[in-house]
Amino acid sequence: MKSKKEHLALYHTKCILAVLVICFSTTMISLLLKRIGVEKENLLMVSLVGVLVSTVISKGFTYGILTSVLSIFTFNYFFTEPLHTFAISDRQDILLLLFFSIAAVISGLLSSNFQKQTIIARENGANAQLLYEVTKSYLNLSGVDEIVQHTLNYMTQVTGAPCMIQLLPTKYEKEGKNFKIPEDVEPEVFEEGKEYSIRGLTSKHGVVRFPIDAACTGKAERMVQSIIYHMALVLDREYMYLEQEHIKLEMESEQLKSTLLRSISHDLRTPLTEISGAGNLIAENLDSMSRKEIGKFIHDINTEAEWLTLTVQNILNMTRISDGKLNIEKEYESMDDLMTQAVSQLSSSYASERLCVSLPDKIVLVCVDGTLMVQVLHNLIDNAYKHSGEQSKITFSGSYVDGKACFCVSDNGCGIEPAILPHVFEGFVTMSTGAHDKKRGVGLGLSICQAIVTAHGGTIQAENNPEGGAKFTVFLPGDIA
Amino acid sequence: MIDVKKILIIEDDVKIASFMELSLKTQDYDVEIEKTGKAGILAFCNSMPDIILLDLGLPDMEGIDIIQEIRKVSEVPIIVVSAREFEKDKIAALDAGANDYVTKPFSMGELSARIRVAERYLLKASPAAEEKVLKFDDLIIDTERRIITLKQQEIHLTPLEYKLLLYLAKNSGKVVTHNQILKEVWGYMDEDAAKNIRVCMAGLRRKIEPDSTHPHYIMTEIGVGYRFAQQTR
Repeated sequence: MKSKKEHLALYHTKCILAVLVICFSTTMISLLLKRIGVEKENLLMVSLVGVLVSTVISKGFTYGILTSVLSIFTFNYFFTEPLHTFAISDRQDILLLLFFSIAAVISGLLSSNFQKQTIIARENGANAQLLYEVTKSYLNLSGVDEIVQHTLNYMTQVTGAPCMIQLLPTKYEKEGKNFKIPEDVEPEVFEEGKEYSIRGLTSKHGVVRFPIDAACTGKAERMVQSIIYHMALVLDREYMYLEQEHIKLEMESEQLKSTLLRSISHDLRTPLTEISGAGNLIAENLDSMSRKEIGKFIHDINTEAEWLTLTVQNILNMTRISDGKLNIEKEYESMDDLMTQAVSQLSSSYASERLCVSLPDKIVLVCVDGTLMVQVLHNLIDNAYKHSGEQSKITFSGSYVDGKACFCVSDNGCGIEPAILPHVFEGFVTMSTGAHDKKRGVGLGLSICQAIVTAHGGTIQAENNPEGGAKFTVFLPGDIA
Repeated sequence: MIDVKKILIIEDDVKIASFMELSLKTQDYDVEIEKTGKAGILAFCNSMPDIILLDLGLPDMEGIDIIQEIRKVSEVPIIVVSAREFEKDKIAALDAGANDYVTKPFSMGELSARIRVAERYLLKASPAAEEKVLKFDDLIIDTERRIITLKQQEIHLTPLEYKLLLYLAKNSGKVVTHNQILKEVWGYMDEDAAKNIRVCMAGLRRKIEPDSTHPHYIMTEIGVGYRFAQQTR
């Protein structure tokens, strides 16, 4: 880039050249006009035009004056008596030149003033336009990163220097963020440089830093400040939005917690009552009870304990995914592994003839937290065993449909009551018809299934088979190996 | 003479320990209980148990350190007893050389089964370990001729599948983790390795399992690794 001095020198040379050319041409034109008999008073008008032209070209008053002085001398030399000397014999001519110079000065002043006004007006217009563009460009930005990157781009446009934006940590972050442009610039560059703070409505969001030698003074500085102002506004908006999202999340997890509490009180109390009841009964009547009776009670205790284990596991999984953060460890697992594992975990009290398993034709991989996904499948099969009736047949099949891994648990039992079908995943819904075990909810298990599947980017759906029985299908993103 | 197996239980929860003791004693095992890791190691040195049951949530030592200490001097089967919140430790324990694990809450039947597996492992670990023909029910692996037969039918495996099967078979009765398989069979780690194990395993299973929906030879321990069936003699 050329320095200011060089710029100035170039400007002055240009102006002097222009003045000389103008004077030369007005003189030539005047000589021409004189030959065809034009009066010298009128010839002065040509010079006046020259003065105005030079004021316009030089964009200043000084060169206008210079032109008028030169014009006076050439006029004096070429057109006043005695010709070709710098003397004036006619008094009228002196008066003429005096008025000419006054007129030249006044018109030069006016025109240069006018020009300055135009330039200022144009600059103001450009500034307004730029500001408008800045405002407009910030409107459709979303995300803190995008906003900051956009600001950085503007900053280099305005100042031509590297720039760093340091954001202070927000409520939900531990550390603030730093952004630089260009990205590979050393942070030391910004030490002792200029810094502007980004002030939002309620708090300071961060600082914008420039290197010590950055040219941000005057107009550029005003520009920088107004960009920062806009950035602060947009950041305010962004942070407000983020806070709202957080509140929403917190509310959701609060809701999950309350579901959990309700289900604990309901789903855990029942089997616990039975276990302690049966235990008490045996302890108190140990001598008077037959072995067969005791055996029956112990069997009951076992079944209830097994069920408690599953429920506790479900609840633990639930807390694992509803802590606000998803604590899921994804790993590639084959559908075969997940399905066989889910089947092998089924209680041995279930008749295995009732279950028919079919693995997918191809080897399909899904990226899941294996333990959680097995829990989902296990819950679904367990539900089918418990709620579809004593004699129902259950089909557990895996397939690959339209780029998705699809697990399906279907039975030919009593199906889901149409009235509660839309609500089965809402947590804490109990099947009331047909189920041989009316006191237990399946809703908790299913709502956990849904939470787990959703956390994996999948979907779960419940429907009734046209030929009877319920059908649960889990779709997960998957790949054929 | 009846060979009474001695089991060392290292567990800080008195109730669980006494319940395990009671149950194991009825199955004619000789049981010793220690409540801390240090006492456990000491007891191991003094009484040379045949099998160790190790709880992962001990107050004084990390389970993995105990295993490493024991593994320095002995190949005694170690069965890890872990609660759900120690899932990561469980895998680390297996990587460090534990043979097997049970997760709380477990049934006594489950634990007994694991102990019986460990007992057989004990037999296998005796000097004649390098066998040339490994037999698992209908599945026979002839390591010398590199021939695998299932119900007298020869099965064709890819080199990688063969290597994987051989590794699993040689560690039969032990849980092998994904990490161990990667190290021993693949010999390298990369992003796709985890995928490759699953794919190779599913392929292998489809070839050697008579009913792949109810695997008989290769059992999945999801999130942990695999377990191969018992060797038959």
